[in-house]
Amino acid sequence: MMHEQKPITQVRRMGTIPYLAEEDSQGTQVVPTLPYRKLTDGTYAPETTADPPVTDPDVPAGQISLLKGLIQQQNETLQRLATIEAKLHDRVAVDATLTGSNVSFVQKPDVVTTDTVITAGSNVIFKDTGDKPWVLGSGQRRVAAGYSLGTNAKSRLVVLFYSAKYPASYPLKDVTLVDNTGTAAASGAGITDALSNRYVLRLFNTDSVDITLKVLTRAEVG
Amino acid sequence: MRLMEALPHDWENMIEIPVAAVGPDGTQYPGTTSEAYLRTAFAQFVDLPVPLSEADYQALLAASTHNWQLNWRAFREQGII
Repeated sequence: MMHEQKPITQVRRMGTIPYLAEEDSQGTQVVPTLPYRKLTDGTYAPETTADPPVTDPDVPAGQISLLKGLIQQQNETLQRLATIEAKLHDRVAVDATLTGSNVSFVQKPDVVTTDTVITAGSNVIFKDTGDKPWVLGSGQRRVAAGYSLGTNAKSRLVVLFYSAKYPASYPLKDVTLVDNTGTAAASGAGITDALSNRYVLRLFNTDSVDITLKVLTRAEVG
Repeated sequence: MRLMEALPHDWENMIEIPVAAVGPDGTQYPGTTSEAYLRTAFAQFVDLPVPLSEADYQALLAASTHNWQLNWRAFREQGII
């Protein structure tokens, strides 16, 4: 608080606790800007960082230390409250984002769960058990798929979208989800916006040897 | 007719093969491959006239992966190559 300070010539007491009083230009007592130090003329003045610590014969050193400890605790408590408030603010923002985007993720039954050998240079289409494209669930807007291959395998995973009128012959569009060019951990996953509500997965073996497909999974995302 | 021309093509001009994948229980899944791949992997065979001689057929099998051997045997049994 900025105000014109008057010299303070006495230590006042609130109950048994001594404190250094301070008055503004109108003589009204205000919140003191502790700590103070005693000047050579017997008055008190606010201490600056360059000033020596508070010393007063009427205030035992133990009580000054106690007051400093209380102030330190109060500052730490305020800091913790500020941290909690910031976290709450962040959490509210995250919740608002999730609520706003209305994310839903539906994991579908695995397409391939055990080792399947894909012929060199070929591609195979995975579709519904009825030999038709899968139909995207109501409200879902994206298709995700992922696979795991044998070591160093080269392969490409593509999703094909079909029209409702020609669900078995002419795909509308193909989108590559993963393209492995031969790494020790040959696996990956991808997601794409659904261009229609009928789709299949197509796996290309881009290698010159037969490769092993270990797992192939898919999901539909809102 | 040459081997490449004899193989069945689909609407994408891809070559339809009976064995694009083999499951753990031996189940075979059909699929396709490209002329470009065949010309790379089986360059010395794709322009041979069909039916292949027994010697050429055996050489083709010897130059093939396990899954491709299954495909060539199927085509041979169907009288395509």
